[in-house]
Amino acid sequence: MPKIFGQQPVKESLRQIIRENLFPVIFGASISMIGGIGLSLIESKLYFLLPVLITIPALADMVGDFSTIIASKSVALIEQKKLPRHWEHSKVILGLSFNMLWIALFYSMIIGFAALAIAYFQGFSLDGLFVVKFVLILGLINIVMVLFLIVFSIRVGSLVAYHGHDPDNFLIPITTSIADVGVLLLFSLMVYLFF
Amino acid sequence: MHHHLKRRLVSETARHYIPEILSGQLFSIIGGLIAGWLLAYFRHSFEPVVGFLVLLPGVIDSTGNIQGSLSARLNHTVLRWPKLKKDSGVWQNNRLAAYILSGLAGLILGLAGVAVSYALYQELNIRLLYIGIISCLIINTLLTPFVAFLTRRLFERGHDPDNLMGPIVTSLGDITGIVVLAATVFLLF
Repeated sequence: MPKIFGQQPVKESLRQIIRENLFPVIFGASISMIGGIGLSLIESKLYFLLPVLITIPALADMVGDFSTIIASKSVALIEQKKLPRHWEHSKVILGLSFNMLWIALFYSMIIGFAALAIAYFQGFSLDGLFVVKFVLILGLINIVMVLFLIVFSIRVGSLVAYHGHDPDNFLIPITTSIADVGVLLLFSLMVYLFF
Repeated sequence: MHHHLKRRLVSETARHYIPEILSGQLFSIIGGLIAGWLLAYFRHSFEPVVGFLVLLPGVIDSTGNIQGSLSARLNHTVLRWPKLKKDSGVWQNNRLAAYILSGLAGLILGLAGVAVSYALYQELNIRLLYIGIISCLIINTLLTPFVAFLTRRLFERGHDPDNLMGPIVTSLGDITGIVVLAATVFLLF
């Protein structure tokens, strides 16, 4: 019988909160630096290709937010006892996943074109081939990342909660860090290969 | 069944959460693009700083992690105990923990940034340590009270903070982070 987490949160002490969050924060900070190393390796291209530089925060935020929303909803469903142990059978999760994918693709196009416009007004010269490559790469990165993070968030969140721990303290920092690293590394690789 | 919990259960259909997610993501994207524009605007300040790009994602992400986790904990606490007062020990402990964690994150990021930049560029840039600590502390000092206030206010007004606070926290963290980083670099270099 798994322990019910959070039985006495009113008595949750400062030390307990820090102890539960220390590893995720350290892990998140450390793993984020891997993405930073990826960016450093394309530093000269990055400061030159303004649309790429402008896109990075928005793209990382979007992918991270999606994983956070799904992870958080999984926790809420667990608390309400609506998420079965085998989440694949949950219509709510499957529907949410489908919606995340089409929203991600839609917004990746918006991010791409907005970044191109901002870069243009900052003096960056655009050509048709660059625009097409840039937008296609953004779409591809989003699809890959969202699919991976949906599976990761749901599986890990369910496992953590089932073993009696509070997923809020572990899942959100870890998932967002993995999302940010993944998107930065993927983006760095694409820039290195195609620009 | 408590009124707020009942409203959240009813709202868990696509018809209700898709607009919330769409609006939240729009906010997040606009915030991210503003942060990207600021990054491009301040690039001439960041470019001479050896190893800055190694530090940048870590500072921004740690802020999002700490504030996002803070918001989620407060939201689920209020969900279970709606009448819990905002000056209670639970609220104060969570906010204080966010401050302490931000300082620790800044220290770790700064140390790691110095080490990695030395490995990549063979240059020992100690000022990265100061940038990491100072910027993390300032960013989280600015954001923690606001995140705590907003989480509770959204819940009280019948919204699901889980859908909205993530994008808000990350956007504000990005924008605040880049501005604070630019100011810190300007002071130290």
